[in-house]
Amino acid sequence: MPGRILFHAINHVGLGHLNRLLAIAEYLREGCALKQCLFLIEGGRDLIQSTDLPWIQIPAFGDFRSERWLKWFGISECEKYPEGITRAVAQIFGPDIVVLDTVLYKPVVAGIAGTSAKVVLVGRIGDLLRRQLDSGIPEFDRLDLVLVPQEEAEISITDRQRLRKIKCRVVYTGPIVRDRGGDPQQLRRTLGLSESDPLIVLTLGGGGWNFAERLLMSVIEARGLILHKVPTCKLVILCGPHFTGSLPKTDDFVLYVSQFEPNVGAFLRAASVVVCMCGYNTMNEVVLAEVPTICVPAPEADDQLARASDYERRFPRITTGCLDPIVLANQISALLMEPRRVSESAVPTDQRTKTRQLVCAEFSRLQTGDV
Amino acid sequence: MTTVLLHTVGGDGLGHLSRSLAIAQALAGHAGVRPVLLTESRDVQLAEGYGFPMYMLPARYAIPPDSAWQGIRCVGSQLWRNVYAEVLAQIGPDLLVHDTIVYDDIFHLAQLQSIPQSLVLRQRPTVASISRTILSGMRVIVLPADVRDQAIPDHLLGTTRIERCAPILRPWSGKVVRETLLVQYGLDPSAVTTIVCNAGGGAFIEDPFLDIVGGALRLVSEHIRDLQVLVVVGPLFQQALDAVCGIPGLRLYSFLPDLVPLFAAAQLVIARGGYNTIHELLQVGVPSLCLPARRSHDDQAQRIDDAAHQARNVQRGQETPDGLAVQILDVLKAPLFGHSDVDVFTTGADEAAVALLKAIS
Repeated sequence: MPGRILFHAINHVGLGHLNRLLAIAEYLREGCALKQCLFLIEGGRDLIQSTDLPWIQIPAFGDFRSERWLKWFGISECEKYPEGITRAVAQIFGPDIVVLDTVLYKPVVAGIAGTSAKVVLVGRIGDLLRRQLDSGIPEFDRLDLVLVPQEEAEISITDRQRLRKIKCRVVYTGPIVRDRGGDPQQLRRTLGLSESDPLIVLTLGGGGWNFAERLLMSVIEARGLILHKVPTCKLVILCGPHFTGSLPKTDDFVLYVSQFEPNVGAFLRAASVVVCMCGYNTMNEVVLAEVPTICVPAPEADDQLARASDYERRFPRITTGCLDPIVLANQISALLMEPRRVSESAVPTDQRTKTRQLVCAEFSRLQTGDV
Repeated sequence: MTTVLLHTVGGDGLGHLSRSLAIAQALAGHAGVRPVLLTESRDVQLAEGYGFPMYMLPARYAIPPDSAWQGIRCVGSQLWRNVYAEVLAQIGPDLLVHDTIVYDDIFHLAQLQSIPQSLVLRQRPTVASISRTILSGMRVIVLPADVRDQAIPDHLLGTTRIERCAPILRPWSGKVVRETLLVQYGLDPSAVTTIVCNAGGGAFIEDPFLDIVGGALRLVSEHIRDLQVLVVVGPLFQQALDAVCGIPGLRLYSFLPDLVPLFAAAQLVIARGGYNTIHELLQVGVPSLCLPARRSHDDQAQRIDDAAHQARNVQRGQETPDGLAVQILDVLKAPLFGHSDVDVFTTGADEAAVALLKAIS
């Protein structure tokens, strides 16, 4: 039975790490009476504030937020700050388990060094984890459990060999994803849409990739062609809290623009078509929502190209798109003209239940020392 | 280098944070001064745009009693105290500035380390709840002007140095090219533009504001065909949007960082009665109907009434759709567009920054 769990989510361009750890906290709460948890975050306050889960923000370095510190403080000073806040929090909170996502962030590992907490890494296979495994950083020795949030069959032989270097237990859990609820029918009524009105939902994940702005521009440029074929079509844009590009104003086509929505699941299920990039969470959420999806992978993200072709192969509702506005308009229009009812509700899939049970069992074993 | 740490607490609005950002910006204009923010707020967007070094903690008093915080409530205050101690150790501020609310724990930690402290005090009634020990521990207490009350409370007389300043607002150039600005927001410059501003949007209880305003604007749209409405629900807003979604000519935003130029470009603003909103409306002089939000530490109704006594452009709005619709139609028939009865407030943050720095010089 887990006691106190401290989560750390590094979050620079997207919200994937934090989202996954929130999913784990929710699994544990649903499945095995999580007693106390606390999140150390570096961003994504809007995401975590949409839950009731406790958080403390530590200063973030290594991304755009560094500039605000480095303008006034020296780098050597700054590097000590996250470690100091982590230590200050860990001393009081006294975690039994610390959960990190994909990145073994040195200041956090150093900040918990004085505790007897067991350490879990949720390690999604991608370049971030590969680089750490290949360089053999000593922080891996501190780990007690690694949860790989993918199916073992998805992982290449080379990556499986990499994972074998880890001395502790490694478990493949399948996708760890939140079911971000909300009633899609109610959302449509709120937006002034009937059940049959064609609606495109463009979600740009956390919005931190430069590619997000280009995808938004392509969809906006596709507007004329889409409206020519589907004149009543509306567009909702969820650009993500890290998005810094300019946003289009709302008008007869652009119905609603939002930097962040806590109930993304309702938007996805309310959509006639989703246009998105290929982040881990977004793709698993559109699978859960069972909505026709055009995914356009961001080349600057290490894993999106491979994920796009993999998911297109495995899930018939997913199509890979590109930035060409004409191609995009044709793909969107074709899907809009197919009749489809909005999903009735969120039905957690068997996969999600299986993953939740597996994660809960692993945390219980860790707590009882049965690993 | 002089480091000034601005500690800001907020929960249901963005007023404290907004003022601290204005002061931080003014401080950054002084050579050799670096502002750092330590905020406890539900804000997620406003502060990010300013680019100051920032520590962020949850708004302690706004934590819902049934949340997962409950389990760690026993260590909650120690947790904050430990983080405060670490922040003070990390940046070693030359001055700690509180805005209106002073938490005992950070005050005493700073006092133990002989860190000079000052207070920017917006609401005069609040001072009664601050202990004399804390008040006497302040190098300076800066009182920004408020339409509500100008007297110095007895608690402050003879205790500490008092500095008055103009209302502290985030800077505004005062120049608006109306057509360009409206087009930028997808609005038609030739139509009748109404801005609805729900401030931070963070009311803890069910708030009927958007129901009332939505109902009123639907009635008004039957009389004014070219009405267009830009609604900013506030970044902390979490209720359903049904009330406003059916308004004709609607443009809906969760948050806009700088509303003052839009106020200046509108024919009418429908807003709340917070300190920043009211002073911004007075500054701009746009016809405004203000409906008070219920706040535990502020009397917005009184502020609106006081503002209405001082300036012709601010009126208290009726809190029914029918009543408000009549007022809207009256205002739009005889607009006072571009008229300001009061002095423009642009100097408050600079005056506050000078007073704060003088206290440690």
